[in-house]
Amino acid sequence: MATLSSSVIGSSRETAMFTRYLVVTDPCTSHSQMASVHPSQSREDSSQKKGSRKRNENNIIYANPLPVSFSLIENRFAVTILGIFGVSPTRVLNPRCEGTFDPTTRSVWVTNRRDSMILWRRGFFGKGNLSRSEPSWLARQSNVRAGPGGRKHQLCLRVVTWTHGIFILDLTSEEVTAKRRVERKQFKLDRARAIAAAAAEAEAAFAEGRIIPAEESKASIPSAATWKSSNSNRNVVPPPSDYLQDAADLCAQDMEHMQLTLVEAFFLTWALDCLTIYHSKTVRSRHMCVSIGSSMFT
Amino acid sequence: MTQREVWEAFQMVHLSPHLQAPSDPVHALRPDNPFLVNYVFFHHYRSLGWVVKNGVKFCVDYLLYKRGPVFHHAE
Repeated sequence: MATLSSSVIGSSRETAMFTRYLVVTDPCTSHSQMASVHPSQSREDSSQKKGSRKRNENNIIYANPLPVSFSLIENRFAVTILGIFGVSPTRVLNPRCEGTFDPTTRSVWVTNRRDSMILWRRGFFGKGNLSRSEPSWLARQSNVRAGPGGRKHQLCLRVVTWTHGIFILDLTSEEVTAKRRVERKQFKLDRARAIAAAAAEAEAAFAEGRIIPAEESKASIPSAATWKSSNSNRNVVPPPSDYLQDAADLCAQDMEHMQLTLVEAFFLTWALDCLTIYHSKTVRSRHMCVSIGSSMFT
Repeated sequence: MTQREVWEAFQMVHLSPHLQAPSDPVHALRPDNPFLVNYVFFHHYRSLGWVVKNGVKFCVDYLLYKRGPVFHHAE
């Protein structure tokens, strides 16, 4: 009972810290403050600064290298006095995450959203089972649901930044990759078309007996440096309405869980003591007990 | 699960299904167990400050990131 209560206290303290941490890193507020400080910032400046802003945000979000962190006491005097007697007032803040061991996939599943975000942001443990690395399935679904125009749906997990008077969706890494692939494909198509046109022109000129200067033919073929992506909206096909409806239904619950490899899970359990692992059989039996109990009482 | 149960279960996972119920657990858990080998690697590099991720998508055993996948490419 004592361990249970202490773990409850620890988790509530950790939750409070986590929410405070979220408030600090909220991109909407931080960016609106920035915009109010520099209202006359030119567009080129801000696009150059976007990289450093992103880096600063990442530095804040991923500040902790491990899930456990240390509480710092503000009072320097007390720290000095305690230090004389060899007592450190610093305490370890343990997030107390929970996971379920699944023998068939040889992994430990973390289904709790808070735990998976803590484990990913502090030390990059685990992987979303529907994502490339960071569990971003829900964010992607809500981006899809918002559509290419970026309609103003208020969803809890969609990250929206306020820039130059318009809302911009923060793309997940998977979406950035997909966008780059579409652009490269379009670039290759354009280049192939230009090369074919130049070749046809050269053939026609050869048949007529005149010579085209090399610079002229080269100028018409786009290279990676000169090619500009034209309006990408023409390639975007809006998803069918029933798909949108499905996505809206799915958005209500998070279908994704985080998978820890056994090695990561054992490191978190044994070396850091911040993960409690349940066996899938015992969890199932516990759920059954709960459901039987609730059905008896109703 | 207690730490000892976790320790044994994670090593048993890599055994073939026929050995799932060994009569003598000392013989079943050998020091060249895949879990042990992987864990020694993981713990070593994690202790040195690297972020260790699985490298199966690049046909290697592990990827080492300097601060994390967000900051640097793997080495």
